[in-house]
Amino acid sequence: MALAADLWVMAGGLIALALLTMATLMAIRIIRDYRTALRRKALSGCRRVLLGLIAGQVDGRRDLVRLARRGDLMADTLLEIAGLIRGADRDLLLTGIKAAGGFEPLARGAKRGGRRRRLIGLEAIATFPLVDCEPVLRNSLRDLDPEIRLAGVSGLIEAGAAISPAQLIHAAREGRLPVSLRFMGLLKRLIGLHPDAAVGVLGRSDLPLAYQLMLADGLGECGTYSAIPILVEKSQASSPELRAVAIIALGRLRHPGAEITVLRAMADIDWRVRRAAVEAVGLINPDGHVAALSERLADPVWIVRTQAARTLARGAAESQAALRYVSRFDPEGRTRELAASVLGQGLAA
Amino acid sequence: MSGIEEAFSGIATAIGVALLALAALQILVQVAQLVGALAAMRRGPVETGSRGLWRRTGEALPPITLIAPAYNEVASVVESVRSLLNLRYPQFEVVVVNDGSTDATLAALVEAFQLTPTRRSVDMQANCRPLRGLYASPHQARLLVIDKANGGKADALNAGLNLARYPLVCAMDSDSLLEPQALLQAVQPFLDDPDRVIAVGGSIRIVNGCRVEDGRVSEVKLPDKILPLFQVGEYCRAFMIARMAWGHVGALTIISGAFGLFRRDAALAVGGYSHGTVGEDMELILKLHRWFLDRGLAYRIAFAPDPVCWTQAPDTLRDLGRQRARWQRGALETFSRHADMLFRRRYGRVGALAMGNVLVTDVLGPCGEIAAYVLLPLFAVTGALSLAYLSAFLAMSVGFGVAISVAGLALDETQKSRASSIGALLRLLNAAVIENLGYRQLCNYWRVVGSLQFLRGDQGWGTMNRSGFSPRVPANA
Repeated sequence: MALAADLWVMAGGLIALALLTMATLMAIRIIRDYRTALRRKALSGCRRVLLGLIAGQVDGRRDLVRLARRGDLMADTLLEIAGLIRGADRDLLLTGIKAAGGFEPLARGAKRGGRRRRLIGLEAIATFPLVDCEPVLRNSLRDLDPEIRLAGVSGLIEAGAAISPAQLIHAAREGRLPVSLRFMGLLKRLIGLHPDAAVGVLGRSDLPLAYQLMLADGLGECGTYSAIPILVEKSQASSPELRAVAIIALGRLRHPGAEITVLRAMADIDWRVRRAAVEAVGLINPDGHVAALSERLADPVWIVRTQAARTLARGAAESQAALRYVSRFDPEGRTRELAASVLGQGLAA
Repeated sequence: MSGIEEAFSGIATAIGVALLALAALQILVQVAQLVGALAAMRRGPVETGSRGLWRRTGEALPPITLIAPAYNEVASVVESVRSLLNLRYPQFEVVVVNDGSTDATLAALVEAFQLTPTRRSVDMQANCRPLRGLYASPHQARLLVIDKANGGKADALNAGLNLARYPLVCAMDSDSLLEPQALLQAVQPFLDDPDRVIAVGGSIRIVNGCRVEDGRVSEVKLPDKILPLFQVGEYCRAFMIARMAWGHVGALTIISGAFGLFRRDAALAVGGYSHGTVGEDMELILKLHRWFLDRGLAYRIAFAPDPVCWTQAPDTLRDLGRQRARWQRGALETFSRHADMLFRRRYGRVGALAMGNVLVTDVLGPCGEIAAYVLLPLFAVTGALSLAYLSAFLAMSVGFGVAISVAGLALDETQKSRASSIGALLRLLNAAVIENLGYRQLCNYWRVVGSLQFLRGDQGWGTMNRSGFSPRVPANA
């Protein structure tokens, strides 16, 4: 009977605990709803004052001084508005906030508090000129949270700090920055800003494959012809992934000097490289290599065949005529079908 | 006491002990899930708002193919597709697979989007039934409609996988609505850990009662009817406790078929979705676990609580019973196909924890609970169990159920606030208490029915009445 009594007590305890939790939840919800309403009102006020500042209204200055003390509020509103304006309007906004004493609360928010507060604070700080924001952003590079460190680096790049691709890669290799697609985005931005430095880094023999892939890809997008020699070198690397990325990058650069390398890659043993080469030829000079592209329509790997057909379909009259011919007269049924299919695609391309 | 009475008493005691042990195991699993969910929430994403995510990740977002299979969904398919086409994401395509519908699903799509026949080269890597045609819209370059012979949901998803052009695919139901920023939120784990993450599941919420306009949930409200209301609490526990916890420990065994994001190459590597099961979503996840663990490759299957997909919940006992029986059948089919993973060292925590959880919660749990409701009163009537113990066990069962239900809502309330107002929260909390006095037992009964169907080898999905979304899901549809 003692066990039965204990079970009753436990059941009662659990239900009492559940009821207590329910009451607490209701109380928390009432407080949260009240605070949300207050914050929404404050955000709206802050937005009005900042927009007034840009419009040159002077009567909102006193409100601005009061609102400027609330770093989190100011950070949210600043990010919202700064994302929409540029040039003189943006300068006016930032100067006004700084004059009203709004920079220091933002800087404090970027250093202290929860992750979200620090992150938003850093992003807001990064909208200010480099001379103001650099100390705060550099300080964030010592944060324990890798996402915050990444936001700090992003802010520094945004503000125009002198960071090279080599430094960013070094930080990642030391484990100070997480290697994510966000990191890749930052590295690509840096490659665009310092393409020659990126060429130098890609030439290093000790660079891990993942970084070589990111650099080669970024160099193809940034459009610098000084990258052609190193990309040609990487197009003969032992890694098929790197060869493929280098070939695509050469295609994106659209330089006739890369044509021979790209054409040679169409006969690579790895299908990824052949597919990349077919795509790259389409970017450089599709109508100059109709015969080579038509040959790839008989490639043993379907994705290469499909890419070849697409490349021909995107070319001028001669390429399309070749594809039409193949769609009717090629001895291989599957090649005829593929060519007809790509020609008929039209919609949903 | 005669020999027969002694034997009966001994058997009753043995059964009672076994049922108690099973109940204790289930309680242990629930408590462990609660602890895991709390730990996962502490490491949750820092920013979930679409504006912040755009600002931070806009440049790095990979393109996504959304695959929406549709079978006799004429009531809701157009609105669902419109909602998909309006998602906030830089680069995506929507592939709707008409799985041999016998109603006017395809005609509705053709008329609404002015579709015309098109062609696209395709390599049939995942097994699916023959395609009858492809349709595209001159006004919506992102939309492709596949018309194919009926082959079931897995078959339709495989057709979509074959025709998908992007490296990430999002499998979903065509009768579900995604929140505009859902893709943006769901893709975050892929951005953070691009080499290891192969699949991400999102949260499912119940749309019954909400106001839906132009394919979007414009006003969140709780369902008026009691059955969908109970399901709101259930979904809350399933996603905010169970999946959160299992995702946190790297042993998630299911990503809901209504909304899951996968790396296309990984899904194709395991042959896509399996045929011959109604639990194709769970089956795919277990196949992925097995494939990567067999090869010793690093991978991660994550759960992201923020992206929300809205789905219609059954609001009649008949539809709900069919759905629950089908879910149970799916779980058992998948478990039986992968039973060799159970407690094998090679499969680590997936074999030990996740499969162990399926064994306790899905295989043994419902039968054990229903057996307890039938046998314990019988033992009490025959004198093998005292009424005091019987009532104490029942009280404990209800007390624990109430505590877990409320805990699920508490976790949800601290993170996502599923209830839109204080009144709605109160209704949800009341439902969390009441559901333990009949509804939970009914669900277990349906699961036992599902288990029997599995043992009989039943196949098929059954039908569920769909009401469409606009202008508002009627409470008594």
